[in-house]
Amino acid sequence: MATLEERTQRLEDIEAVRRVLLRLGESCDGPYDADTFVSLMTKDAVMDLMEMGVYRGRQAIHDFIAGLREHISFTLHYWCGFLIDIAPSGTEATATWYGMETPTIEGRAVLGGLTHDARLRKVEGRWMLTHLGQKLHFMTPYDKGWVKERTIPPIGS
Amino acid sequence: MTTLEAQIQWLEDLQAIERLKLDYVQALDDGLCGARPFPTDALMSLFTDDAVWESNIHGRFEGHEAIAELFTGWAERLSFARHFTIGPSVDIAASGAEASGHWYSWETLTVEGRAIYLAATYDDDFRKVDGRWLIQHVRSNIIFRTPYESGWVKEPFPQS
Repeated sequence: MATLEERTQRLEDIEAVRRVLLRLGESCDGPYDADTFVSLMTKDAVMDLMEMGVYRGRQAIHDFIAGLREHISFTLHYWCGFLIDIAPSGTEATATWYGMETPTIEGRAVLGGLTHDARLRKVEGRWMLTHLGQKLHFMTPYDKGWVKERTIPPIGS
Repeated sequence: MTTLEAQIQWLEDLQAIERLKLDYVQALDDGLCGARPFPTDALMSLFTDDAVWESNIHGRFEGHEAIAELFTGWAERLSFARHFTIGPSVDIAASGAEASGHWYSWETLTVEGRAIYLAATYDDDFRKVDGRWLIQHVRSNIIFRTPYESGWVKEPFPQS
Protein backbone atom coordinates (compact mmCIF):
# COMPACT_ATOMS: atom_id res chain seq x y z
CA MET A 1 0.00 0.00 0.00
CA ALA A 2 1.46 3.34 -1.07
CA THR A 3 2.08 5.89 1.67
CA LEU A 4 0.33 9.25 1.64
CA GLU A 5 3.61 10.85 0.63
CA GLU A 6 4.01 8.47 -2.33
CA ARG A 7 0.42 9.07 -3.43
CA THR A 8 0.90 12.84 -3.26
CA GLN A 9 4.18 12.57 -5.16
CA ARG A 10 2.44 10.68 -7.98
CA LEU A 11 -0.22 13.40 -8.31
CA GLU A 12 2.44 16.09 -8.30
CA ASP A 13 4.42 14.20 -10.96
CA ILE A 14 1.36 13.92 -13.24
CA GLU A 15 0.82 17.68 -12.95
CA ALA A 16 4.53 18.39 -13.51
CA VAL A 17 4.56 16.23 -16.66
CA ARG A 18 1.43 17.98 -17.95
CA ARG A 19 3.15 21.35 -17.50
CA VAL A 20 6.27 20.22 -19.35
CA LEU A 21 4.14 19.04 -22.26
CA LEU A 22 2.10 22.25 -22.37
CA ARG A 23 5.32 24.27 -22.31
CA LEU A 24 6.60 22.13 -25.20
CA GLY A 25 3.46 22.90 -27.23
CA GLU A 26 3.69 26.60 -26.45
CA SER A 27 7.32 26.67 -27.62
CA CYS A 28 6.12 25.36 -31.01
CA ASP A 29 3.58 28.15 -31.48
CA GLY A 30 4.97 30.42 -34.16
CA PRO A 31 7.62 31.72 -34.10
CA TYR A 32 9.25 28.44 -33.13
CA ASP A 33 11.37 28.69 -29.97
CA ALA A 34 13.82 25.85 -30.57
CA ASP A 35 15.93 26.72 -27.50
CA THR A 36 12.99 26.26 -25.12
CA PHE A 37 11.84 23.17 -27.04
CA VAL A 38 15.13 21.29 -26.58
CA SER A 39 15.58 22.53 -23.00
CA LEU A 40 12.63 20.26 -22.13
CA MET A 41 14.41 17.21 -23.59
CA THR A 42 17.27 15.02 -22.47
CA LYS A 43 20.52 15.23 -24.47
CA ASP A 44 19.85 11.84 -26.08
CA ALA A 45 16.16 12.49 -26.79
CA VAL A 46 14.60 11.11 -29.98
CA MET A 47 11.84 12.88 -31.90
CA ASP A 48 10.04 10.53 -34.30
CA LEU A 49 7.69 12.50 -36.58
CA MET A 50 7.15 9.55 -38.95
CA GLU A 51 6.63 11.06 -42.46
CA MET A 52 8.44 14.22 -41.26
CA GLY A 53 11.57 12.34 -40.19
CA VAL A 54 13.36 11.02 -37.10
CA TYR A 55 15.68 13.37 -35.19
CA ARG A 56 18.18 12.08 -32.62
CA GLY A 57 19.74 14.28 -29.96
CA ARG A 58 19.21 17.90 -28.96
CA GLN A 59 21.18 19.44 -31.84
CA ALA A 60 19.31 17.60 -34.60
CA ILE A 61 15.98 18.35 -32.93
CA HIS A 62 16.93 22.01 -32.47
CA ASP A 63 17.92 22.37 -36.14
CA PHE A 64 14.67 20.84 -37.36
CA ILE A 65 12.45 22.95 -35.09
CA ALA A 66 14.33 26.18 -35.88
CA GLY A 67 14.04 25.36 -39.59
CA LEU A 68 10.25 25.28 -39.40
CA ARG A 69 10.27 29.07 -39.10
CA GLU A 70 11.08 29.29 -42.80
CA HIS A 71 7.88 27.50 -43.72
CA ILE A 72 5.39 28.19 -40.92
CA SER A 73 4.67 31.84 -40.14
CA PHE A 74 1.95 31.18 -37.56
CA THR A 75 0.49 28.31 -35.61
CA LEU A 76 -1.25 27.53 -32.34
CA HIS A 77 -1.16 24.12 -30.68
CA TYR A 78 -4.47 23.19 -29.09
CA TRP A 79 -3.25 20.26 -27.02
CA CYS A 80 -5.76 18.37 -24.87
CA GLY A 81 -6.65 14.99 -23.42
CA PHE A 82 -3.35 14.29 -21.62
CA LEU A 83 -3.23 10.68 -20.44
CA ILE A 84 -0.19 10.46 -18.17
CA ASP A 85 1.21 7.39 -16.39
CA ILE A 86 3.99 7.58 -13.83
CA ALA A 87 6.00 4.34 -13.63
CA PRO A 88 6.27 2.62 -10.20
CA SER A 89 9.92 3.80 -10.07
CA GLY A 90 8.66 7.39 -9.96
CA THR A 91 11.41 8.43 -12.39
CA GLU A 92 9.88 7.38 -15.73
CA ALA A 93 6.59 8.44 -17.28
CA THR A 94 4.60 8.00 -20.47
CA ALA A 95 2.00 10.33 -21.96
CA THR A 96 -0.40 10.46 -24.87
CA TRP A 97 -2.51 13.41 -25.96
CA TYR A 98 -4.48 14.93 -28.84
CA GLY A 99 -3.49 18.05 -30.73
CA MET A 100 -5.22 20.34 -33.16
CA GLU A 101 -3.05 22.90 -34.93
CA THR A 102 -3.77 26.01 -36.97
CA PRO A 103 -0.62 26.73 -39.00
CA THR A 104 -0.03 29.07 -41.90
CA ILE A 105 2.30 27.01 -44.11
CA GLU A 106 3.90 28.72 -47.11
CA GLY A 107 1.19 31.39 -46.85
CA ARG A 108 -1.69 28.92 -46.77
CA ALA A 109 -4.13 28.31 -43.88
CA VAL A 110 -3.88 24.68 -42.77
CA LEU A 111 -5.74 22.66 -40.13
CA GLY A 112 -3.91 19.81 -38.42
CA GLY A 113 -5.21 16.93 -36.30
CA LEU A 114 -2.64 14.74 -34.54
CA THR A 115 -2.12 12.41 -31.63
CA HIS A 116 1.16 12.55 -29.75
CA ASP A 117 3.07 10.26 -27.41
CA ALA A 118 6.04 10.87 -25.17
CA ARG A 119 8.32 9.15 -22.71
CA LEU A 120 9.85 11.21 -19.93
CA ARG A 121 12.54 10.76 -17.31
CA LYS A 122 13.00 12.63 -14.06
CA VAL A 123 16.52 14.08 -14.08
CA GLU A 124 17.65 15.80 -10.87
CA GLY A 125 14.04 16.38 -9.88
CA ARG A 126 12.95 17.72 -13.25
CA TRP A 127 10.82 15.87 -15.85
CA MET A 128 12.36 15.83 -19.34
CA LEU A 129 11.34 14.13 -22.59
CA THR A 130 13.43 11.22 -23.82
CA HIS A 131 11.09 10.46 -26.73
CA LEU A 132 8.48 12.44 -28.64
CA GLY A 133 6.28 10.80 -31.26
CA GLN A 134 3.32 11.85 -33.34
CA LYS A 135 0.70 10.37 -35.59
CA LEU A 136 -0.57 12.71 -38.23
CA HIS A 137 -4.29 12.17 -38.86
CA PHE A 138 -4.76 15.15 -41.16
CA MET A 139 -2.92 18.32 -42.14
CA THR A 140 -5.39 19.73 -44.59
CA PRO A 141 -5.65 23.03 -46.42
CA TYR A 142 -8.33 24.91 -44.49
CA ASP A 143 -10.45 25.32 -47.62
CA LYS A 144 -10.38 21.57 -48.39
CA GLY A 145 -10.98 19.40 -45.32
CA TRP A 146 -9.53 15.97 -44.48
CA VAL A 147 -11.58 14.01 -46.97
CA LYS A 148 -10.69 16.06 -50.07
CA GLU A 149 -7.01 16.41 -49.11
CA ARG A 150 -5.90 14.54 -46.00
CA THR A 151 -2.40 16.00 -45.85
CA ILE A 152 -0.39 18.60 -47.65
CA PRO A 153 3.04 17.37 -48.82
CA PRO A 154 5.55 17.10 -45.93
CA ILE A 155 7.43 20.34 -45.24
CA GLY A 156 10.75 20.43 -47.07
CA SER A 157 9.75 17.80 -49.64
CA MET B 1 -12.20 18.71 9.32
CA THR B 2 -11.06 16.79 6.28
CA THR B 3 -8.07 14.51 6.79
CA LEU B 4 -4.99 14.62 4.60
CA GLU B 5 -5.82 11.15 3.36
CA ALA B 6 -9.32 12.25 2.30
CA GLN B 7 -7.83 15.23 0.48
CA ILE B 8 -5.39 13.02 -1.41
CA GLN B 9 -8.18 10.54 -2.19
CA TRP B 10 -10.24 13.38 -3.66
CA LEU B 11 -7.38 14.40 -5.97
CA GLU B 12 -6.81 10.77 -6.98
CA ASP B 13 -10.51 10.36 -7.76
CA LEU B 14 -10.53 13.48 -9.96
CA GLN B 15 -7.48 12.19 -11.80
CA ALA B 16 -8.94 8.68 -12.20
CA ILE B 17 -12.18 10.02 -13.69
CA GLU B 18 -10.35 12.29 -16.13
CA ARG B 19 -8.33 9.28 -17.18
CA LEU B 20 -11.39 7.03 -17.49
CA LYS B 21 -13.00 9.46 -19.94
CA LEU B 22 -9.79 9.59 -22.01
CA ASP B 23 -9.54 5.79 -22.05
CA TYR B 24 -13.11 5.77 -23.40
CA VAL B 25 -12.39 8.43 -26.04
CA GLN B 26 -9.16 6.79 -27.23
CA ALA B 27 -10.67 3.30 -27.52
CA LEU B 28 -13.74 4.69 -29.33
CA ASP B 29 -11.60 6.72 -31.75
CA ASP B 30 -9.38 3.73 -32.47
CA GLY B 31 -12.46 1.63 -33.22
CA LEU B 32 -13.98 4.32 -35.44
CA CYS B 33 -10.63 4.67 -37.29
CA GLY B 34 -10.78 1.02 -38.31
CA ALA B 35 -9.23 -0.96 -35.42
CA ARG B 36 -10.48 -4.53 -35.84
CA PRO B 37 -11.78 -6.39 -34.00
CA PHE B 38 -13.71 -3.35 -32.83
CA PRO B 39 -12.58 -2.75 -29.20
CA THR B 40 -15.98 -3.62 -27.72
CA ASP B 41 -14.55 -5.44 -24.68
CA ALA B 42 -12.14 -2.62 -23.85
CA LEU B 43 -14.95 -0.08 -24.11
CA MET B 44 -17.53 -2.06 -22.16
CA SER B 45 -15.03 -2.71 -19.36
CA LEU B 46 -15.23 1.03 -18.67
CA PHE B 47 -19.02 0.97 -18.07
CA THR B 48 -21.09 -0.22 -15.10
CA ASP B 49 -23.43 -3.15 -15.81
CA ASP B 50 -26.44 -0.82 -15.68
CA ALA B 51 -24.84 1.92 -17.79
CA VAL B 52 -26.87 4.30 -19.95
CA TRP B 53 -25.61 6.16 -23.04
CA GLU B 54 -27.90 8.86 -24.38
CA SER B 55 -27.83 11.91 -26.61
CA ASN B 56 -30.32 14.39 -28.00
CA ILE B 57 -29.69 12.97 -31.49
CA HIS B 58 -29.15 9.23 -31.03
CA GLY B 59 -31.64 8.43 -28.28
CA ARG B 60 -31.18 6.31 -25.16
CA PHE B 61 -29.28 3.01 -24.88
CA GLU B 62 -29.29 0.92 -21.68
CA GLY B 63 -26.85 -1.86 -20.84
CA HIS B 64 -23.66 -3.14 -22.46
CA GLU B 65 -25.33 -4.89 -25.38
CA ALA B 66 -27.30 -1.86 -26.55
CA ILE B 67 -24.38 0.53 -26.09
CA ALA B 68 -21.99 -1.81 -27.95
CA GLU B 69 -24.47 -2.05 -30.83
CA LEU B 70 -24.63 1.74 -31.00
CA PHE B 71 -20.83 1.98 -31.23
CA THR B 72 -20.38 -0.81 -33.79
CA GLY B 73 -23.18 0.76 -35.84
CA TRP B 74 -21.15 3.97 -35.96
CA ALA B 75 -18.07 1.98 -36.98
CA GLU B 76 -19.91 0.83 -40.12
CA ARG B 77 -20.56 4.43 -41.22
CA LEU B 78 -17.41 6.18 -40.01
CA SER B 79 -13.90 5.71 -41.35
CA PHE B 80 -12.22 8.36 -39.19
CA ALA B 81 -12.89 9.97 -35.81
CA ARG B 82 -10.94 12.02 -33.32
CA HIS B 83 -12.62 13.47 -30.24
CA PHE B 84 -10.71 16.53 -29.02
CA THR B 85 -11.89 16.49 -25.41
CA ILE B 86 -11.63 19.62 -23.27
CA GLY B 87 -12.11 19.75 -19.52
CA PRO B 88 -13.14 18.24 -17.24
CA SER B 89 -14.99 19.75 -14.35
CA VAL B 90 -15.62 16.84 -11.97
CA ASP B 91 -17.62 16.73 -8.74
CA ILE B 92 -17.16 13.83 -6.33
CA ALA B 93 -20.18 13.10 -4.12
CA ALA B 94 -19.71 13.18 -0.34
CA SER B 95 -20.01 9.37 -0.32
CA GLY B 96 -16.81 9.18 -2.41
CA ALA B 97 -18.46 6.51 -4.55
CA GLU B 98 -20.35 8.62 -7.09
CA ALA B 99 -19.30 11.51 -9.29
CA SER B 100 -20.36 13.66 -12.19
CA GLY B 101 -18.29 15.40 -14.83
CA HIS B 102 -18.63 17.96 -17.59
CA TRP B 103 -16.57 18.06 -20.81
CA TYR B 104 -16.55 19.83 -24.16
CA SER B 105 -15.89 17.79 -27.28
CA TRP B 106 -14.82 18.97 -30.73
CA GLU B 107 -14.94 16.04 -33.10
CA THR B 108 -13.44 15.60 -36.55
CA LEU B 109 -15.21 12.74 -38.32
CA THR B 110 -15.45 11.14 -41.73
CA VAL B 111 -19.03 9.86 -42.05
CA GLU B 112 -19.87 7.95 -45.24
CA GLY B 113 -16.99 9.64 -47.02
CA ARG B 114 -17.86 13.15 -45.86
CA ALA B 115 -15.81 15.37 -43.51
CA ILE B 116 -17.93 16.39 -40.52
CA TYR B 117 -17.34 18.70 -37.58
CA LEU B 118 -19.28 17.77 -34.46
CA ALA B 119 -19.56 19.93 -31.34
CA ALA B 120 -20.95 18.45 -28.14
CA THR B 121 -20.92 18.73 -24.40
CA TYR B 122 -20.91 15.75 -22.06
CA ASP B 123 -22.57 15.56 -18.65
CA ASP B 124 -21.63 12.14 -17.35
CA ASP B 125 -22.14 10.19 -14.13
CA PHE B 126 -19.62 7.78 -12.62
CA ARG B 127 -19.68 5.13 -9.91
CA LYS B 128 -16.85 3.51 -7.98
CA VAL B 129 -17.17 -0.27 -8.12
CA ASP B 130 -14.66 -2.38 -6.14
CA GLY B 131 -12.29 0.56 -5.94
CA ARG B 132 -12.44 1.37 -9.66
CA TRP B 133 -14.31 4.26 -11.28
CA LEU B 134 -16.69 3.28 -14.09
CA ILE B 135 -18.98 5.22 -16.43
CA GLN B 136 -22.58 4.92 -15.29
CA HIS B 137 -24.32 7.43 -17.54
CA VAL B 138 -23.17 9.33 -20.64
CA ARG B 139 -25.26 12.34 -21.65
CA SER B 140 -24.04 13.77 -24.93
CA ASN B 141 -25.64 17.03 -26.01
CA ILE B 142 -24.82 17.47 -29.69
CA ILE B 143 -24.91 21.13 -30.65
CA PHE B 144 -24.03 20.81 -34.32
CA ARG B 145 -22.86 18.13 -36.71
CA THR B 146 -21.97 20.07 -39.80
CA PRO B 147 -20.37 19.14 -43.12
CA TYR B 148 -16.86 20.64 -43.05
CA GLU B 149 -17.53 22.77 -46.16
CA SER B 150 -20.80 24.22 -44.84
CA GLY B 151 -20.19 25.31 -41.24
CA TRP B 152 -22.63 25.43 -38.34
CA VAL B 153 -24.63 28.46 -39.50
CA LYS B 154 -25.40 27.29 -43.02
CA GLU B 155 -26.00 23.65 -42.10
CA PRO B 156 -25.90 22.82 -38.36
CA PHE B 157 -26.99 19.26 -39.17
CA PRO B 158 -26.53 17.46 -42.50
CA GLN B 159 -29.46 18.13 -44.82
CA SER B 160 -28.92 14.92 -46.76
